Amino acid sequence: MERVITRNILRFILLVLLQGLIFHRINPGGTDFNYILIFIYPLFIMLLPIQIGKALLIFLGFLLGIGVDLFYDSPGLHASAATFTAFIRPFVLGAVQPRGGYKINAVPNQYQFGFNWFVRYSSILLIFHLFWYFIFEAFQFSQIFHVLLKTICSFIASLIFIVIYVFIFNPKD
Amino acid sequence: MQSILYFLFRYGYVLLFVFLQIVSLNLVVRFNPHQNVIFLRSSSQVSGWLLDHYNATVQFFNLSQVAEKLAEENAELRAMTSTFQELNRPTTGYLDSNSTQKYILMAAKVINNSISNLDNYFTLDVGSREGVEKGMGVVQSEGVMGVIIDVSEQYARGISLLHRDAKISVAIERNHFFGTLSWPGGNPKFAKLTDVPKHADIVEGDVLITSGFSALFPHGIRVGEIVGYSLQEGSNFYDIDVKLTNDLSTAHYVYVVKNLTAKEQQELEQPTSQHGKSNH
Repeated sequence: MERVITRNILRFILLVLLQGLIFHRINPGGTDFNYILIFIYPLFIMLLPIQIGKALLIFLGFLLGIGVDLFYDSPGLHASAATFTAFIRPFVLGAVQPRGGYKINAVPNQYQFGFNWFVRYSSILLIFHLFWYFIFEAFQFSQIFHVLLKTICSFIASLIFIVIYVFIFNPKD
Repeated sequence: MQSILYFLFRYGYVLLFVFLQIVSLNLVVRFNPHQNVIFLRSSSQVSGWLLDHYNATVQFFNLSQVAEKLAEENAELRAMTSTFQELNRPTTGYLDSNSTQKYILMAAKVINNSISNLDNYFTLDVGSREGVEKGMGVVQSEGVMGVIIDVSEQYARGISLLHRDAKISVAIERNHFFGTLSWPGGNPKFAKLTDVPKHADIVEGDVLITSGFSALFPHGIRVGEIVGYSLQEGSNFYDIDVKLTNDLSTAHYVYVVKNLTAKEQQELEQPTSQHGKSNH
């Protein structure tokens, strides 16, 4: 149990720093195609243990978002999206539930559930997260085309990096 | 009681979610200039339409007063044009001393205005479509109204003279000593004049006009008159009470001041204004 907590605290710090210091500065589309952003930090929410309480999960999501916001100079934006992602995680977990349900101590990662399952699960959360984020970034519905384009482009780029992260660290718990 | 506890236990996380969303969005609107502007703009877009219609109704009942005022103004302008014709100068807009056109006035209707808060704002029915820009001054026929701070396509929002951040550079008409006019709150008909040095010669009843130092207002618009003054011990500046000539609570028609040379003046003053904040 303690091991799980320390692991998650370390992952929290690592992901916030990776996001804030490295991925914040990477802009693969350049100034002409400013539609690709890489979001890796939602992975923290994805990898929390399944048995975690909903309120704690949402609160951790909020904290994560605030942490990232500190680097982005955008107080509230990432916090809002991360809170939302944490809020919908139990429903997404319910939707992708394997036959026979989850074991009590299970952690939703690639190691325990397989690559295909993990990509399916993280894709759903990621796309909701990005969509929410870009909607509130634009803050107006006339930009809906840009919001959708940004969501799709950023989704592909972010998923690649999330998968790379999972392959490098291969989190087990 | 038990059912409430049960409800909280079962659905507390939804409440937490809603609460944290409110916190985040509050942060977003408060600290991100972009969202803040859009929030103000869309709220003015929605409320502007309503206010337009509301005002149309209310103003119908004030028509006789407004007509009277306009007639007065017309007369004044007629007098001015005749003077200019005599001097053989172009007749539109305000002229500065070397007779190049410096200001254009654009008529606008006030569709929202407050005087009761500590920081008051107003909304006009002209916007970027009509060429209104952030930072333009707004004057009434007999006084200063405020400064535009935000512009949408059809509406403009400004801080009123009755705002803590509104500071207007004015001068005493008789001897051209200048100071800063601001509003301390309270009665919307009275304001304070500060920064007038103690060697200045002032009397009650002295008329104040805009100094024309900043790019916002033309020189010579009547702002108010001095109704009382005091000199605190050890201070080098007078503390002057001013009665405003215009009544901001009844402002219906105003003029947005477009300064044709504002850019040039600001560019020239840029390096010096970094040392101290200049007055509007």
